[in-house]
Amino acid sequence: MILYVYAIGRAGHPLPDDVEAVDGGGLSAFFAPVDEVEFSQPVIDARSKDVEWLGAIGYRHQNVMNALMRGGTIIPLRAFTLFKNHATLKHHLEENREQFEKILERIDGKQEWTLRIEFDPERWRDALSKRVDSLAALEADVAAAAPGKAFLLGKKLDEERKRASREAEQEVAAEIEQAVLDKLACEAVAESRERRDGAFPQINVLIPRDEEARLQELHDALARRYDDEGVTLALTGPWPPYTFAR
Amino acid sequence: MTEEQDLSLLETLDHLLDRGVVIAGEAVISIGDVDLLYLGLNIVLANMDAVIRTGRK
Repeated sequence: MILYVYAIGRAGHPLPDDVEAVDGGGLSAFFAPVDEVEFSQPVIDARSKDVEWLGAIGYRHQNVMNALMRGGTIIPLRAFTLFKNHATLKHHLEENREQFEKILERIDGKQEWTLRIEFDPERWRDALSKRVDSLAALEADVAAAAPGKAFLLGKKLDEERKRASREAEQEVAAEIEQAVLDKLACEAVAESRERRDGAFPQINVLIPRDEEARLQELHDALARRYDDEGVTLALTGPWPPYTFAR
Repeated sequence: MTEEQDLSLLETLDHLLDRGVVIAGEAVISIGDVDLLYLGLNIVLANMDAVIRTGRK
């Protein structure tokens, strides 16, 4: 058996059903033993597209995390954090004790929320032409050009649009991050589209529990501000503070 | 599973797998030598993003 580790907390933290703990340096690591073949690299690679299987692991991970969080502050670890045995896990706790204590202090009484910034392809494209003068000019040229030339100009326009869209997306994300930092007592970590392998950019924020209503208000105000441009803001949370736990 | 549950599952996986840290489809570390590892599951997650997007419409 190997150890699937869910989280790290202070020693004496209440244990949910089917979760065990290893102590070290005044801290505890919360884990469940798992079969080392089932969680070996080849097996996981082979099953990594099996959404049912991943989903089952995800649900369990999330449920254990929720149960642990009801008992107080913990440092949540991402799925598939595996340790070879008790000794290596204990060593990990002792070796990184100071860092873990700092993280626990940082996230005490706080919640992580995620603001995902979604761009509707068509409406965002129209909005871009209004934002970027050179695009509007190019569009007019394409419309006025003879067929052969229009084809070439059209290709140029596509390229320009891609570039402008990337830049404008980054601008929007930066504006939203700044608005969040200005309005709320919080920490924020922005994840660009590149960081997220092409998925929509998002901003993770760590707020004190009692700032939740203000975050919701800010979300609504920002959503109104960008609605005309086909930009939607999806606010989800509270999440275990994965982003701020390292 | 309803569409809503499906969506929340995808959101959950998106968070707890941390797509950005791992390199697409690659194992970062092997169990034999090192204690701690994250596994590369990026390819699935790229597909999931598409599902999240369509799920919202």
